[in-house]
Amino acid sequence: MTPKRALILFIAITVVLIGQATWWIIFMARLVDEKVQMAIDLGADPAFVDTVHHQEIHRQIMVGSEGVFMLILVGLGAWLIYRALVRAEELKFHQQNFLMAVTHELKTPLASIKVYLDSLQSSKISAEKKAAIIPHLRQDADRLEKLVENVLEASRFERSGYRVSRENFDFSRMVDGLLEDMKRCPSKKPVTVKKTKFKEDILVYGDPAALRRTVEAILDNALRYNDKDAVEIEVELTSETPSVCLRICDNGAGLTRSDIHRIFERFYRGGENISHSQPGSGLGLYLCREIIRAHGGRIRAESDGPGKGTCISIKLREKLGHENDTSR
Amino acid sequence: MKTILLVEDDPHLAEGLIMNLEADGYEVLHVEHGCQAMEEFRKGNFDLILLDIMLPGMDGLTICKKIRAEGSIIPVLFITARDRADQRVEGLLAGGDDYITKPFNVAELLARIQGIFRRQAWLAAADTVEDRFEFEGRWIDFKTFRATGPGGTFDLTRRECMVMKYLVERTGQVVSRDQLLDAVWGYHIYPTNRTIDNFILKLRKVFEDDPGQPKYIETVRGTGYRFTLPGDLG
Repeated sequence: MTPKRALILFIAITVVLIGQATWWIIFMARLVDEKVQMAIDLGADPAFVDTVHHQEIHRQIMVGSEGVFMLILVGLGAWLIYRALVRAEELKFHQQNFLMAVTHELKTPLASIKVYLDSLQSSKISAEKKAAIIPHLRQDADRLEKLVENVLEASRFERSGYRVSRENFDFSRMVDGLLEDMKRCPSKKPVTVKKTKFKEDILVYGDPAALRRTVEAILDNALRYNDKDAVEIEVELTSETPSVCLRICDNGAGLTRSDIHRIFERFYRGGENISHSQPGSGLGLYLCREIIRAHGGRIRAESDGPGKGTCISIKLREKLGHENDTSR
Repeated sequence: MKTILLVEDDPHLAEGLIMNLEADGYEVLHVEHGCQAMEEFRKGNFDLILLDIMLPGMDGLTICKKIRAEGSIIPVLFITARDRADQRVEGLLAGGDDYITKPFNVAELLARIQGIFRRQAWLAAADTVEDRFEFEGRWIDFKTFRATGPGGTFDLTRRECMVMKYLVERTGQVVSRDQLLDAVWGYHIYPTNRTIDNFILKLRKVFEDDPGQPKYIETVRGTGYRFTLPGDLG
C-alpha cells in the first residue's frame, strides 16, 4: 500500500469514527430526553423524574467517555498503521537508492580497473604511463574492498549487533595520524585542516580499528560532500573525564533540518534524488552510529543549513586501567 | 584530429580513458563537474561528448537535455553504471546517441566512438541523396534536421533524420527493422526493435496526409518498411 492510499484510508476511518461517535452522542442525548419526557407523560413523581434524569445523564457520560476512549484508541491504531506504512515505503525507497548507489560505487572502480588493465595491455601507451597506473589500480581495489566491507558489516549489525574488542589506546594519536594521512593524500582541491583545540595523549577504552574507521568515514564525508573551491576542516578533541569529545566541522554541503535527524539512518542519504547526485552507499554514517553506540558513546550532527557546512560530534567514554575484553 | 569532451567525476576512470583516447588519436578535454561541462561545451568546438550521468553539480541527463535544447546536434555517448533497459532508454530520450555501461572494455568504447563518427559521416554525406530531399511538395533537410509536410515544418532528431535517409536511399526497397537498427543505431540497445516503429510514426506524422493510411512510408507486414513515391514500383 502506498503512503497516499494509507493516508486516504486513515482519513476515511477517522471520518467514519467521528461520524459514528457524533451520531451516538446525539442518539444518547435524545434517549435521555425521551425517557424523561415519558416519565413526565406518565405522571411520575418529579423526584422520580429527577432521579431518572440524573441516572440517564450519568449513564450517558459513562458510555460517552468509553466511546471517546475507544475512538482515541482506534484513531491511534490507525495513525500508527499509517506511520508504519509510510516508514516501510520510505525504507523501500532508501533501499532502492542504496542498491543504485552501491551499483554505482561498485561499478565505477571496476570500470576504472578494467580500463587500466586494457591500458596495460595496449601497445600504444608508453611504459612510463603504464608504471603510473599500478598505484591507482591498488587504490581502486582498496575502494572496492572498503565498500564490500561496509555492506557486510551493515548486514552483520542487523543480524547480531556489533562486537567490540576493547583495549586502551591513544585516541589522540590515532586522530592525529588520520589528519596527517589526509593532508598527504592527493586531493582534487586544496584541503586545510585546522586543529582548534586538540588535547594530546587522550586514552580511550575501545576498539581501535572500529573507531579509526568511524573517524575516517567522517573525514571522508567532509571531503566528499563539499562543493567549495577549497575544503576547510576544523577538528577539536577535548576531554572532560570521563568523556572524550571529538568534533569535526567542515565548510561543505551542510544538512537540512530533516537530514540532521535522519543522516545516521541506514540507507539514508542527504537530499532526495541520489541517482543523479554524489555517489555514496548511505551506510557510512549508519555504521559510525552503530560503532559509537556499541562503545556506549553518542554521535550527532549539526548544521546551519544547506551550503553552510556540517559538524559531527562524537562523545566517547574515556577509560583507564582495564584489561582487554570483548563485550557487545 | 577529433576533439572529445570527457565529463567524468572519477579521476582514475577519467585518467584511464584519457590515456586510451589520446593513444587512439583523439584530443581530450576532461572536466569533473556537471556545471563545468556546460561551460566547456559552450566555449569549445567538440566532436563528441563522453558523459557520465551521476555527476556533482548537474547530472548527465540534464546536461544532455540542455545541450539539445540549445540546438546542438553534437553526438553524446553516455558512460554510466545505470544498466537497466529503462535507464538506457531514458538516456537516449534525453538526447544521447549511444550508451555504454560500466564496467566496459576500452576496445568496445573506441568501437562505439568510431561507429558514432561513421554514422555521422554517412548522414552528412551527399553522395547518394542530396542534403535536401524533396517529394510531392514535402522536403527534408539532412543537414539542418528540418522537414516540411502537410502539417507544417518540424525539427527532427538526428535519428529520425537517419531513419528517413536510410529509407530514402532505398526507395522502393523493403528495409527490415534489423537493417535500420544496424545502420542508424549500430547496435541493439533497445529491448525490442519495435522501438523503431515509434520513429516511423513520427515520420509519418510529418510526411503523410493521413498517418493511419500511409502513402509514402509503408509497413511491410512481418518484415519492416518501404519508402515509395507515387508511380514508383521500386
